[in-house]
Amino acid sequence: MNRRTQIALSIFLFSVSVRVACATPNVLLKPADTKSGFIAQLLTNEVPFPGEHGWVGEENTKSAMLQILWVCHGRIHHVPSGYDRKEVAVTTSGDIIDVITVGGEKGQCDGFYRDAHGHFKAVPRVQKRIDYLLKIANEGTPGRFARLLLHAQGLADAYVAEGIRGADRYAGLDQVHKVSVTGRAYSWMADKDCYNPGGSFVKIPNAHEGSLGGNRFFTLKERNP
Amino acid sequence: MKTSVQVVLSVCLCLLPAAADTPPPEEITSIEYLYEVVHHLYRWHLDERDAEKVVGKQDIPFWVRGVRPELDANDQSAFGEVVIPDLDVAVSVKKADYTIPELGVTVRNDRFKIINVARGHLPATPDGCEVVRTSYPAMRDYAHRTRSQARFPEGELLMRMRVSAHGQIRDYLRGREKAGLESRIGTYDELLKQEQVVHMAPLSEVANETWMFWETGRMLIRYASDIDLEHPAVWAHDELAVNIYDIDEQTVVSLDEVAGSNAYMTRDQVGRALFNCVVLGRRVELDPSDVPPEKDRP
Repeated sequence: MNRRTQIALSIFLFSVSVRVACATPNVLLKPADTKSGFIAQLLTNEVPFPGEHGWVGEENTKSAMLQILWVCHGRIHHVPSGYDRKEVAVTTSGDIIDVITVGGEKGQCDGFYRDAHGHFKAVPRVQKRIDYLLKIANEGTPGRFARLLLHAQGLADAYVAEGIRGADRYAGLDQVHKVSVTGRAYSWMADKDCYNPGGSFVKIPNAHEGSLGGNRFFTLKERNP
Repeated sequence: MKTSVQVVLSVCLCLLPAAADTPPPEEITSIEYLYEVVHHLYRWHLDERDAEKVVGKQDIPFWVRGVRPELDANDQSAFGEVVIPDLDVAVSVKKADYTIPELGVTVRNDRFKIINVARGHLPATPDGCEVVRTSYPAMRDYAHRTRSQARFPEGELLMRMRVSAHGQIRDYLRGREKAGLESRIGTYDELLKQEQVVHMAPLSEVANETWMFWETGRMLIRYASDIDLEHPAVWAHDELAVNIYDIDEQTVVSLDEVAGSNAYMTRDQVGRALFNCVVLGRRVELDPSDVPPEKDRP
């Protein structure tokens, strides 16, 4: 191989490697049929991105993701005194995937279910929105869309590997307007006007940051064991 | 079991203010704006039980304050809260002013828009708020006089909403077909043989949110965005603005029936949406030619 050919080959290889590097997406989520991929789907689906209704800022959306994870975790590992897991989580399972999918398609987490073969799935509208967010995140320089998706995947990966990271901002809550409560949040829903969330749930008011990432979080009334 | 460190940390977090209070922007203390908020509440949130709380009152106070949450760099959005203690309602409002580089969009609302309406557990005193009072009879008469006043999408906006509604319906049904999920209303191809009718609710002057009732499929479609609905970006990225509710399946009298689930709406909420779409709203027929043909279909 003469020197000219060597140079031409080097330039060719360099340009190929640059192209490959450029083609690497900003964000890759784990497959939805893996535990951490599925949890990341839930965390992404439930919170607003820039331009969406309920958007405040990046930290607000990230905090909402963490609190949603805390709800699922709390339903398994922090069942308050006087309650049992079945009442709080509608399942006795200690598997977070069961906590998310219990009740089927219109169950505890709208759109997240197990199919007839027991595979955990999300309804197509969830996948469609996440695909859209990924498309935006992977165009051009990584920005907030990319950071938020990576944050959801990071939280999910860490949770599956070693448990929950980060503080539960509702853990110390003991009273809501003279009602004794258990602390922690045990449910969330899109922040829409309703009188009563049902069951023993108590709305966490704005004064305690109960509205986060376009969602309202709910704690439980305290009970004597 | 809580460790003492966790407890201390958690208590500290709970004591941190969610957002600093600031003096309210002048715009949201004007009586004209507050009456627009009342008009929106009258249409979308209030009912007989609320009216009973204020019957016989001579004046109604509004507690208005500015709110400063933690925002991203270069986000100039302004936030506020309007509390109507006599009605047990707190309304959060926002005037967005930021850019989304990924979408090449500048989000800039022309006025404060309602982003949330909360009931119950309101502050006990108007500390940090400007108190604006109005005559209750005057407010009631305004709400009554404007109860049927309605503005509907026209021109470009109407066309975008028609295209989006049809596209979203098609995607919803095709998605379920591909995933092997049942649809109460049948397949998209079966549905195409019928006339497709939607009823559009009036637009709100103080909220970037609107509803449609898809009569043929008996479903509610909600569009909500941080961006003004008139902005083309909402419809270019309507994936991020739409929610579809199967009201046959997702309506309950009380959320107590499905405690802890986030999949349901109350009959009160659905009833109000249907009234605004069907009774106050505008009937629109969708045309399959509104939407581009499907890529993977003949």
